[in-house]
Amino acid sequence: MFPIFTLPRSEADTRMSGNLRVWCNRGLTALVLAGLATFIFFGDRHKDEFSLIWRILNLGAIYAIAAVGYTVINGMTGQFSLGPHGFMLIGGYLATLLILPLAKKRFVWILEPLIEPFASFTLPYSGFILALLGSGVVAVLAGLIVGIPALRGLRGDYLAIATFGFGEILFMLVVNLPSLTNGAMGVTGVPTYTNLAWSWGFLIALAYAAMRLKNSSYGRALRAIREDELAAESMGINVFRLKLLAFLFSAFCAGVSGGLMVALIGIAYPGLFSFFTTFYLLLIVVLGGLGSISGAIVGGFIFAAVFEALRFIDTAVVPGMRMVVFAIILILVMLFFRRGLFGQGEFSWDGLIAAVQRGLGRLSGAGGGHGAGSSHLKA
Amino acid sequence: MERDQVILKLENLTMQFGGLVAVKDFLMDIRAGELVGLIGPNGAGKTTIFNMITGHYKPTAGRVIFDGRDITGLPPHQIARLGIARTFQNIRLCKEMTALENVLISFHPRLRSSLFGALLPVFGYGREEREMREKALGLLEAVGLAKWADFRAGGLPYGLQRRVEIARALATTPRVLLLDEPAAGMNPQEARDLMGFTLTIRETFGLTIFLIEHVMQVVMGICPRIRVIDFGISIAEGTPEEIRSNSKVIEAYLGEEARRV
Ligand SMILES: Nc1ncnc2c1ncn2[C@@H]1O[C@H](COP(=O)(O)OP(=O)(O)O)[C@@H](O)[C@H]1O
Ligand SMILES: [Mg+2]
Repeated sequence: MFPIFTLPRSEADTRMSGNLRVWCNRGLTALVLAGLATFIFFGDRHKDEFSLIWRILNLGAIYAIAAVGYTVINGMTGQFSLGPHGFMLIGGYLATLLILPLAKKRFVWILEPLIEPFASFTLPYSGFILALLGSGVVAVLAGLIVGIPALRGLRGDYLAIATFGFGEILFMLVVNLPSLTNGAMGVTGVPTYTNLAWSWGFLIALAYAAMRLKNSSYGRALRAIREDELAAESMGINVFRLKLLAFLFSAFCAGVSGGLMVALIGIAYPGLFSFFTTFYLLLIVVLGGLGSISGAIVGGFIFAAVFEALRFIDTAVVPGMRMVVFAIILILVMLFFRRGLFGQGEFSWDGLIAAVQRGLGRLSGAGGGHGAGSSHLKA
Repeated sequence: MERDQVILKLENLTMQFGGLVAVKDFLMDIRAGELVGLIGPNGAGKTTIFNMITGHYKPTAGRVIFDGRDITGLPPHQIARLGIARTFQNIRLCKEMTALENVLISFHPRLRSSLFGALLPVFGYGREEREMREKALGLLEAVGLAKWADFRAGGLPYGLQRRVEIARALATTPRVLLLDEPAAGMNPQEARDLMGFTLTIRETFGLTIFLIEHVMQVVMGICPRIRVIDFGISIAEGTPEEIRSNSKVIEAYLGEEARRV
């Protein structure tokens, strides 16, 4: 028998139920999105009654946005960048310059006047989206400057070294360019435009883009680069261009994340994002599972919650003690939990349903142990 | 391209690593549709010649002319796109990806959708992805791997991994295929199967094949023309019969036996 004749029947069967499943999953996703929109709407209206939770939910989304980008370059593509805090800093300052009211601009820059064109214009609340997109774009431009030379080299550690140096240089620039950044004094009084609609809105949009990227031919090429760069280029993949693409995507996410952060806390200063920020993001993406978008999101929210919950350590014990705690957590995760919450995989309704079925099966005794989910597993 | 026209011309290729001359003045014309064997003891410089052709090494001297065009020094991905594909002596699959995904990687350079086309759901990327998957499945079927499509490549038996690697190379739609010791690590029966497979794909895909082998017997059965190198220098060329009885070749392989002891 030709193998071709043994295939179609079973193929057609699974495809039928597959189509139905796709529509069910889309329905579930639409429901969840509608629920989220409602939640965001009421969350923002009642933010003063639940200010701590509201703050954590915003911080979580802001970390998650940067982490989604970071896991694309560090996890999916396997290129070790230490740059996100630098891109967040750039994005944060650009957003500051774009949304700070004119009166504040005249008042804050006393030593050296703010340079044009920023001194003579500012965006109203309705232009906040432009400010955030601008934060992403300026981070991408900086990413080009760092990425082009650093990613051309064949050695993988170039990027880590170059991005680390970039962060340090950027800090010096922010301190020493007072006519742009107001130097070490920083900028206060940034309008606090960020709310759940903005932070979650951008998170959903960027996570969606990252998922499409991962599941596309581009994502496949990125994963191929992570696994075997030499093989990938031998199949015609332009390794440099794709690495740069992943790096710029991560820079864009970090820039937006920085802009949202500044507009959440209302201030910008040189140390706002330091190497610690990158270190936290590393913890988040490893905890979530390197290369997993779902993991980066869940990790971002877990981190924000734990970070706020442990605030007492800094006030009650020694300032900076929290960092030590997180360093220990990162080491423990690296040692004992290296695959993270999601491995390289993603959340899916099928996976969730299979897990629930397994759980129910276990509850109802030995009979239902092998749910539909486990029969899909191969090899 | 007509048969018998020279498709790959290697002009005095020389590769020096510090003081070591790995390949010296390698000269060869390969005609379209040919199946040429390259044999020689371990460390003779065979893989180095492939690496110079594919752009992984930049030759110290000499030129690689592909289809009348000087491709010396082009980056590997460009050479691959021009139509030269290869496999590796130590199989280099993307182990964590499925067999199908490994083949799909090779389609990426010819992707029509732009990045934004792929990121946004409105530009018909889904259709192109489905088309690619069907094409990849068709290719796997043509090489008898269809039922392994969704298996993790790294989990497949060695012989199948080798075939997936060849399928992945075929997916780049090459005109010249370079196979670096494809039968390494196989038992005699598997090696014979693989040589049969090589002949089949040459016919099916209209390929020119340049094949490295370490074990002489493997290529003897299928390559009408065989080149032998030792210490980076060509020592013989001819039909299997001529090579088998060539005293320099016997000496080189005996020399290797001696080196091994
Ligand atoms: N990148 C390299 N750097 C230094 N020496 C190399 C390199 N590649 C190959 N060689 C040397 O060149 C010689 C030929 O190697 P190779 O082409 O791999 O041999 P073969 O494939 O015939 O077994 C060997 O002595 C090897 O050590
Ligand atoms: Mg070799």
